[in-house]
Amino acid sequence: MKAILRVKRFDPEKDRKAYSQDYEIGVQEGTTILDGLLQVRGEQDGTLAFRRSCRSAICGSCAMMINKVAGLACYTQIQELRSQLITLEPLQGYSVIRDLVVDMEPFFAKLKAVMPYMVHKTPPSDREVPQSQEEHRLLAEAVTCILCGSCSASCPRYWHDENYLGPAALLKAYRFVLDSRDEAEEERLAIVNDPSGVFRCRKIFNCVEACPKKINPTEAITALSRKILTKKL
Amino acid sequence: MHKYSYKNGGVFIWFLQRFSGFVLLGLLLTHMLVEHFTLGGHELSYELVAKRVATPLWKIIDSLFLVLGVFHGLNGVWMIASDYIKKDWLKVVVVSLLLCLAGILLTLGLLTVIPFKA
Repeated sequence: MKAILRVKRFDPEKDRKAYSQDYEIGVQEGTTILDGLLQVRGEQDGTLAFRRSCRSAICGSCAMMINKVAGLACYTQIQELRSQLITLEPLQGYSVIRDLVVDMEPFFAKLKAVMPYMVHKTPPSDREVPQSQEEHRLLAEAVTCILCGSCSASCPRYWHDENYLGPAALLKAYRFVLDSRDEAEEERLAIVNDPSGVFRCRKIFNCVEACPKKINPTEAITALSRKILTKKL
Repeated sequence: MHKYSYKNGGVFIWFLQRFSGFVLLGLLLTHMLVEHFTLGGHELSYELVAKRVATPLWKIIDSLFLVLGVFHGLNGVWMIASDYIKKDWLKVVVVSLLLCLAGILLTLGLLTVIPFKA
């Protein structure tokens, strides 16, 4: 079986604006979008730029818009798309560096803003900090985020508002706020209560649909909103 | 880089929007049940409705309906507008227009509801 990858291309050094280029590839059962792109780069066009690393939906590098929906190229099988023409575009809401490679810096800057690390204010003991299974279960879903950026790329608020923290950063904040071992809840809630924080989410569930790890960032954002409300009341 | 530490992100407006939506739903269902099932059914007439609307309890209910409806609706418009308006001066203009509209709607509505006589 054959399929056509219609890739949106842009090289800032020589192109004035983006254009589409078609590549025909061979498809077998199980062939992923990433397999197709590697096939193109290896056999047809060595100038095509895209990120990839693990090829098993763990590193989050190969997120892109596949038929206008954000997802991982390594996790999306071509036959599942039921279409022989597949459009591949860089993640929406991010600035393009070249072809399918986008600038992830603003995304990671927002992640850093919510303090994505454990804060322990009390003096450290000489052994590990214990956590019960119930306490861990609260974070079990949120810790599986691979920071691919698909959720933020499918959020209209994220496209429009350059300051909006976005579902990934808010999910990370939720992950630490709910962690029984963390001691910086107040600081983190103050950060996500920013005018560009949790209350700008419009609950349209695009991020939930886009997440390749089946995480629910909207639920996390709502939980943070409720926590802030309870504190204020 | 924007500094994320401002402590008022709009939690009360967010809560009021949900609370007003919930109360409006209750009021709407009450209104439907009273108007179409218990009061007159198929023989609904101006006299029947006017008699009900003129009572103090219904004046309170209708005023609540009006205030919450205007808040919920116009706040919703502002929420959507604020997603797409970037310029600060334009935000001020839109908020002012929405507040004026709210004022007009509330004045007209309350002037109709409160002094109403059957």
